[in-house]
Formats: sequence, C-alpha cells, structure tokens
Amino acid sequence: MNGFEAISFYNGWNISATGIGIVFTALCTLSFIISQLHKALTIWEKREEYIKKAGKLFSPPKKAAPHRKIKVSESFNESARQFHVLIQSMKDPFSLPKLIKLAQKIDLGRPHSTVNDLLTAGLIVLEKE
Amino acid sequence: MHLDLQNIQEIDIFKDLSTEELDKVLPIIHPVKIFEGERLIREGDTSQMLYIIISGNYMIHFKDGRAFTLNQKGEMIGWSTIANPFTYHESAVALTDGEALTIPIEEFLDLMQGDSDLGSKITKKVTEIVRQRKAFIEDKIENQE
Repeated sequence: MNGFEAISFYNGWNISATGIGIVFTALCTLSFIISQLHKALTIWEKREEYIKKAGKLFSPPKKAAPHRKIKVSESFNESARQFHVLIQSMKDPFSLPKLIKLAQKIDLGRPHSTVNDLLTAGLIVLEKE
Repeated sequence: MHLDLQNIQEIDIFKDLSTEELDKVLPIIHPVKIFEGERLIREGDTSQMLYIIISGNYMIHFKDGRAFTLNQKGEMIGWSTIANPFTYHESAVALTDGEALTIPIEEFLDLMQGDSDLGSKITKKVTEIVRQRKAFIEDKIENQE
C-alpha cells in the first residue's frame, strides 16, 4: 500500500489539515500581537501617568477646604478702608509696591503689615507667578 | 535660630548635598532676623547676599510694578546672584517680621568653584527655581520691550 491510499489509511489528510490549522492560527495570533504592539509600547511609556490616574480613581475623594472665617479687628477694618480708597485712585490692576509707597507717603501706619493682612484675608489677590 | 546639619538638610536647595558637602556649606550660612518693611535686595544692585526664607512673608517686585510674594520655608530670594552678570533681577521687601538664612555670594561662589560636585548640585536646584519663575520673568521682559 502506498500513495494516496497509504495517506488516507494513516489519517494523513487529517494530520495535514490539523498542522495547517495550527500554523495558520499561530501566524494569525502573532500578526495580531505585532499589530497591537505599538499600543502596548505607548502604555509602557506613559505608565507613570496611567498609574497616577489609577491612583486617583481608587483614592478617597478630597474633602473640600473648610470655609475660612477671618476675625478682623476694628483697626484692620479701618486700614482696609484706607487702602481701599488708595487703590481706587490707582489704575487697575494696581501695583503692590506702588500701593505701599503711596501708603508710606501719606503716613499710613505699618503699610507692609497691612498689605500682608489684606493678602492673607484674600482682599488683595496677586497675579499668579 | 540654631543651625545644624539636620535643619540645613531640610532646606530644599541643600537636600541633595552629602554630609561632607553640608559641612563645607554650614560655616558660610548665617541666620538673621528680618523686620517688617526691611528691604533685602534691590533690582539692579550688585549681588552680595542670597537669602533663604525660614519664616515671614516677602514681596518680590520688579521695576515695572509687578509683584508676587514668597513665604514658604526654603524659598530663595536673590537666586540670580549666582549667575552672570551678578546683579539682582528683582527687589525684595519683608511684609512681616521673619527669619532667613543669608549666604554671602562671594564665599558661596568660591565654594561652588572649589567643589564641582557641590557646584553642580546647587546649580541644578537653582535651575529648577529659574524654570518655575521663568514664565513670570519672560512675561516681564516682553512687557519691558
């Protein structure tokens, strides 16, 4: 027995078809992996960003900052009023150093400390650095 | 304020320095009390002193009238002292009483030139500060033009 008869007798056709199937499947899998490789590389390169994002998802939500209550004295109110008048006379946005100079010129008491208090109270807002 | 290696190492600019390097820096650092209204540096003056904030609130301002404040421990005033042309690029005045560390610029530069490792670590930190303030300064230069 030889030729096609022998192939059929020993399941040659089935074995060949299985072999072809295995190789084809492997090649398909390999080509899919290669086609998606760039995505994996992008994720690897941006891994720190993704880790941060994932961290944010699982971290407890931040509590909103409590509303600050600022107790102010009468003298602070008076200083704020005086500085307000000065600021009104200046261009908008006004210059903080010029405000202090002006306050010194007209002899307002402790202009630096008052400006600091006004900044702390959020009544004067600086341009962001 | 008592100065020792540990509290110097807590300051950002000195964080990367080794114990040996800190030993070299420590003798040229002097703590000073700053008083409300005191002018620390004036824009255009020749650099003589670098200030590192310990406490207090300080207004940094420019000739064009723009200003911002510094009040975090370790922030530097007069960082431009260690770069050519060795003049202050800004003015600084204390808005409150506070404390600062002063470093005479000549001694600091001598130290940095004598120890290249230490010099490059300090320069790296100063570069970080410059980068953070770059936008503000570039905007200022554009306004002047």
